[in-house]
Amino acid sequence: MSIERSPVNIPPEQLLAESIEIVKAAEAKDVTLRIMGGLAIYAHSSENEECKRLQLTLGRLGDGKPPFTDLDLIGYDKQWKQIRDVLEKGCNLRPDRMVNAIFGDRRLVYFHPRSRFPIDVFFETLEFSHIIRFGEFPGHARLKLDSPTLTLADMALEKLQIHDINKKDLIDLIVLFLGHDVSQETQPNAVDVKYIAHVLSDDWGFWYDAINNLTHLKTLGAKFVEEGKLTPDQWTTVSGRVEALKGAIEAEPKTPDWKLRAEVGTSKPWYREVTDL
Amino acid sequence: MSEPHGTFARKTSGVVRDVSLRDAFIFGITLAIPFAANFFLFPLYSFLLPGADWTIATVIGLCLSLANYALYASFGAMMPRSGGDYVFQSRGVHPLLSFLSVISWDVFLQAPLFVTILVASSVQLGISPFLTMAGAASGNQALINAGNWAAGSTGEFTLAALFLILALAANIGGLKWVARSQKYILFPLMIISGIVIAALLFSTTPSGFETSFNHYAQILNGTSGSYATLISATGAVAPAFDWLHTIYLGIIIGTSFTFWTVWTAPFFGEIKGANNFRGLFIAFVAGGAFQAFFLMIPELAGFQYGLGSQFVNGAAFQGVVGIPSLAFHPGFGILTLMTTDNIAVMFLASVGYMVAGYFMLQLFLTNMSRYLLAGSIDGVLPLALSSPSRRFKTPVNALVLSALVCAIYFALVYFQPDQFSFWESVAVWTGPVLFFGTSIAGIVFPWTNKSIYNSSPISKYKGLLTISGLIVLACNLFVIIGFIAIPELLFPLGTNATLIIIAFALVGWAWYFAFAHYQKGKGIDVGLTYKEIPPE
Repeated sequence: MSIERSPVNIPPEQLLAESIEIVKAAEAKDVTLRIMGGLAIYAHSSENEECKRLQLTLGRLGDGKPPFTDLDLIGYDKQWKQIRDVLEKGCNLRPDRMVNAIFGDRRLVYFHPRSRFPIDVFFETLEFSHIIRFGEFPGHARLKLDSPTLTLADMALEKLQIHDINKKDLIDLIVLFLGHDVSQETQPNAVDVKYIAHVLSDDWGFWYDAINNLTHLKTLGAKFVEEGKLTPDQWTTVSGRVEALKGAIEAEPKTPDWKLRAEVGTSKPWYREVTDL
Repeated sequence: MSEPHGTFARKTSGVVRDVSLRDAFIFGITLAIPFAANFFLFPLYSFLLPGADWTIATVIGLCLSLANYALYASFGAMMPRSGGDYVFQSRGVHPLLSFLSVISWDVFLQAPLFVTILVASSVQLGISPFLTMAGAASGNQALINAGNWAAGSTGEFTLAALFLILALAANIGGLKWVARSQKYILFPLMIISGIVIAALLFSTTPSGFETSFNHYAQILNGTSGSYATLISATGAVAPAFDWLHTIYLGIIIGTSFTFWTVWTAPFFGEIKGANNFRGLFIAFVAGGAFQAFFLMIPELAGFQYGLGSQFVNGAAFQGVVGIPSLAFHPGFGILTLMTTDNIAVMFLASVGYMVAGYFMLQLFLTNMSRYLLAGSIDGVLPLALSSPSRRFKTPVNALVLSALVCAIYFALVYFQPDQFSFWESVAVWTGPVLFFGTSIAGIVFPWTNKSIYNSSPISKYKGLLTISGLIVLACNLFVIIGFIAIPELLFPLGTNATLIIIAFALVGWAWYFAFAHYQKGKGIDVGLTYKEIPPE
């Protein structure tokens, strides 16, 4: 059976509201789920009208198209069964049984029958071009640091790990850095650049793609200024924060594994290939 | 509520798959029965088709296989989800056809029966001969006794059960473990055995082999001059080349072996790149070419060269008719091992097809479980078969059921050796069913499922799907008709075997309608699933 992943036809605010409903339904059962992706950045900008407007009007998926395609959630592996119960029995979401049967160890896919958007659920680890770990429950509980979304640093990492980054992800990063200052520690409304630098200091391939993506971001940002889609002040804010992040990454001492891999460089593949589902 | 009809593939946040087209190439070789000559071609087809040239026949088979490769690569590009033939036939023709052909006949009859025979062959033609010959070469009676035990009912069942447990464990662990074991264990061993077998056969001559054969026959059979006795049973003749027999053999090699590199179709959804026609087609061709040019032609040509046509003809006669009487079965495996007295070399020659039975069983379990999974998702089989396991998160229930079915057939076949030919005839007759159904699906798909066909990249290759389906159908029809009408290929089915096949069809038909009725009572219209609309 196929579920065509076309842009969601409900307003972004309604999508966000229904997504938060799912997170809260899980919380009521002591199950941790957090929103990721572009929608998470939109959610975290809920009190910044300038950022919300930009994320919707910069043409994430093309001019005139709805901005979001789906809801991405992440939870803990130890709560795998409870998450399925919450989503299937509590929220009446319809599972993609083929995907869940075969890839269920790393991904569950559902469909919202009323509002008709697909939902991807990940567990503790994002395995795309690079790997991002969120720790096991209840120990290194990174998912508990913010709600109903990931932390801002994790949202940034989620975008920075993409090898073939595209416009929508760069737009999300621009919005993220426009709406949130950077910080050297974990704070609810700032991007913890020290944490990002720490993650990248142990993974040369991830570091390489992240630095390249920050360069792409600057290129796109400058282009938006030329096109009048961003004001010079907005861009100054974003690029200043991006520079602060790059500085933190540069300053972070690198691990022996990082240095060893750096010697090999791009002569061997440094990222994993991601294919359509 | 309905979803828009569209492509079968989903464009979404991606997934990293554990298995690639390179793995599919290796799987294809496994599923095409590596060292097919050891298992099936000799002595049967030497006996039935004297004068057939094995090299030319293999090339004919490979050429015919290109149509099957195009057929399955097309389906993979259009519907790269797991379930393979079940999905192709249900979406192309009718769900009842897919249920009968794939679930009823293949999962519960042909596949477990066939793998039972394959594992038995791996034991009888690989493990047992090696132990026997190692014992004969070293004067170790215990090894000879072990070889005899392995070939007996208890030995076969014990070894098969052990293989089954290991294969089930690998599958439950996930396809990546299946892929790794095939890549790092089976594939190197196949290459080693392929090289050693060819080297052994091409480094001997008929006169040299005569000496070896007489020596080992003295040990194993207690008779002298067995070489001359054996070839005189057929008048010491070497059959003249026969084009017709070569063509017949080519079609059989194609439909029975080189066609089967496509049988990763049941788990296309788990293979990276399986939505790409060109990549899949290349993987299939590479598997077929490897099978043909590395695991068949050198071995078969070496067999003729080293042993001599007269002896091959005589050994084929003995293998099928049993004259003259021998205490050992002069199969491809044991005759190859007679060209040396070095036990280490014997092991290297045998190890490839000793392990092939296990690795084929591994993939048969994978395929059977994915067919069950697809049926469960479509609502024609119980939901439990597609529920991911909490612990392993693979379709464990479907895998366990598949293993249980295999275990039942192991017991039925191994503990009733006098019924072996009966079960073999059932397996052979139901063998063409899978490709038969999928070829029909290929022929009609551009008309019966326009939405998927027209929105896929395959539609730009006008006529490819239909023509390749027609060629594959013709080959399978030839085989079925050949079993009935061609004197050299007569393979009588027998009343009991016919009844078994009909019974499985009737049970499948009854289940399909009864379960659909049961699902309707729960508010699930099974008919809607085949129209690509998620059931409400």
